[in-house]
Amino acid sequence: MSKPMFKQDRSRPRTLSRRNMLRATAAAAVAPTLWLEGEHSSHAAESADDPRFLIVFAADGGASIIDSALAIRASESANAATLNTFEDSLVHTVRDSPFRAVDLDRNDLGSISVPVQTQQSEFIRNHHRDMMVATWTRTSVNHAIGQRRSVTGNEAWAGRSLQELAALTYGEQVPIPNVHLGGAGGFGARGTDESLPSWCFGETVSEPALWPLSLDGMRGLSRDLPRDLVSEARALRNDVLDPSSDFAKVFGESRRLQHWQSLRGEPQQRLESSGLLEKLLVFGHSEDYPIESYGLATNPESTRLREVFPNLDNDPFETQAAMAYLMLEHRVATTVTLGPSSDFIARGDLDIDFYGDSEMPADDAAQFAAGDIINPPLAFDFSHQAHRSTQAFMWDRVYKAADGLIRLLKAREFRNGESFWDRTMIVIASDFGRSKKRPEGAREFGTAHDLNNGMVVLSPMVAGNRVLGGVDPDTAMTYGFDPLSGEPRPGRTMTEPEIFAGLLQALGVDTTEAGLPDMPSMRRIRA
Amino acid sequence: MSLRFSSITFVVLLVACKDAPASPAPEEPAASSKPRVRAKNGRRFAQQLSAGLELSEDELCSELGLFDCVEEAHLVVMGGVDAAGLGVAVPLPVAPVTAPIAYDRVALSACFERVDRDFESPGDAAIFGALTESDVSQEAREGVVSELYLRLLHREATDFERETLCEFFTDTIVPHTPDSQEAHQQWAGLSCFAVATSVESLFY
Repeated sequence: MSKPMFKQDRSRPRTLSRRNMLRATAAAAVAPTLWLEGEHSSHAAESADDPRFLIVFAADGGASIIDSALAIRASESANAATLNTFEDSLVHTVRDSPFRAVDLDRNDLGSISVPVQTQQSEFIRNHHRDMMVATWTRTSVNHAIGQRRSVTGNEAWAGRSLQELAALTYGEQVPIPNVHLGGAGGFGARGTDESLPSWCFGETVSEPALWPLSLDGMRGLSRDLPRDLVSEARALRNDVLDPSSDFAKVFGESRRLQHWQSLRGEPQQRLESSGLLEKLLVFGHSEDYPIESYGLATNPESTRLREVFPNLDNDPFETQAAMAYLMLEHRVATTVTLGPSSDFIARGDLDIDFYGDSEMPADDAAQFAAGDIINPPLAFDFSHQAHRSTQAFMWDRVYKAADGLIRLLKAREFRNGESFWDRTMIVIASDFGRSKKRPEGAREFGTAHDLNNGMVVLSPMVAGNRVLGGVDPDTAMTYGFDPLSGEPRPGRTMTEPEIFAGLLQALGVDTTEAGLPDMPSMRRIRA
Repeated sequence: MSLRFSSITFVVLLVACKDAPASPAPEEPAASSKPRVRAKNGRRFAQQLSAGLELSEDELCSELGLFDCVEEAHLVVMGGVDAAGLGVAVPLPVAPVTAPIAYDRVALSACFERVDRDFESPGDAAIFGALTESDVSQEAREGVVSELYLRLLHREATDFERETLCEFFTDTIVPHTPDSQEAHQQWAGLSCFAVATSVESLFY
């Protein structure tokens, strides 16, 4: 048998130096009764048995923090009529929580005539203990750049993204450590540190309903093939025919060929041997999705998923959220990025065509019932046309998806009474904020992109039930906080590297080698 | 003058050939110092399979009988784009971990579709007609291997490749599948699969 022409690359740079470990151990000895979750996690970062999970919500188009957790009541502002402030009655405070919630009830989503009822307060009530808001000031109002910088801290660590670092730290033993559901835009852009192992980089899953079929070469085909014979044919191809061909002799050192051959080895065997195809099928058998006719069983969890995500069939965001849960639950991924589309999405049975081919009379097209519109065009960026209703609608969407994921992850035991949620962080990442002004007294208005904003993070590992920083009601601009204590610091703004560092540290990623600032205020302190 | 010169040259060459070794071993090709290859995306791969196996592109592979493997189910995994629908505007820069499996599925479906058709209608068989006889010879199997390489890789199979795939039949398929016709069907489909998903087939 010819010797293989291709090399396997599973090398992994170490992230925890001896010096760093000594430093962390010394810190723990100084404060034996208090430890910061991030410090603790860095000790265990090498262990596949002690993983953390990261979910990044790609809130495309500018999720404005002053339209959600830091909303401003008109009575609090000297410039209420010309700033993005709300009637006092619309801004709710949740008991025992510093967060605010905007509950809106109106009959339009900008130029789209549809009843819009949003309920941020219910989400805050249910999850405020694991919710943290950190203010920050961004460095770009360009969508793609802002998105990328939201997950790289403006290239704070050699261009590595949050997701790549989570994968590097916790993902070596899982089949696909870093998954991007959907396009993910700049939030899923590949980092620039080519020294990372290839498995750290994001794997794009563009079509969650069908993608699981690419997890097994034989199952679900139109005919039953003997698995062992197909495996023999693959081995013959990989180990005998390919290496002996002139093509491989000439081009065998090509990085692409070597990558291909490495994928055909252990990663492929791992995917196929773990039976992931059926475990990751979000939908059950139906006429439109006849999996059982192809020898595949309906995922027993599909009923539960449908209960939590009732729009699973119509809303790709809910499909992604269900898939994200399955990927973490089955330890397929360490980090998953998902987000609402920037396309207009209406209920599936509506005949709507905004490109001029619809037979629907204009009068009918103008009237929609509650729930008909699933996603406005441009997602959060529809705020250019209709800021108030778009922000309310989109925050409601994001909160509902997060709520579903949290409920599912809380209900699933990781081990020893600990849930998957206990080890998970949801980061609602956005490109930038939105401009703060409005025409005097306008009930609906358009906004532009703005550097000033804040971020919502949900996790038992972060400083829960806390606003880090604050907002000046007279300018609607957020201000920063002290990185150590978390005390508000009017006049200070938080940088992208600072928030990036705080998120990583809360997730248990050792950031020492990157020279990032220490941000203990963002981590949960346990007694 | 010119003709005379050519005749002398021919005689010299003839003498030289007579003294040369009878059958010099073919030289191993040198490894490229700049080995750059590109993967064929799903669409290009489908065109190649379609032409080689005499199947239309929509007959190659369909997931769940409803979703075209290349144009829909595995579009992005196989290097395609769908900016408007899926938000993927450029091909993935690096082959994803599921890509080899997706290519395998397409090739398995297409190859066995060809096998089914050829065995159902031997008179109209495109590739595997010789395997439908009651007594299939080693030469017939070698001929099928040659045909697969010509159709899918556009070159002659080497002796080694012919021998290797024929041994695959005797050493692996036959012990697993005693029925001769079924064994030849399995062998035909899997040989086709091995050639169609070789790196030589998937990259250029």
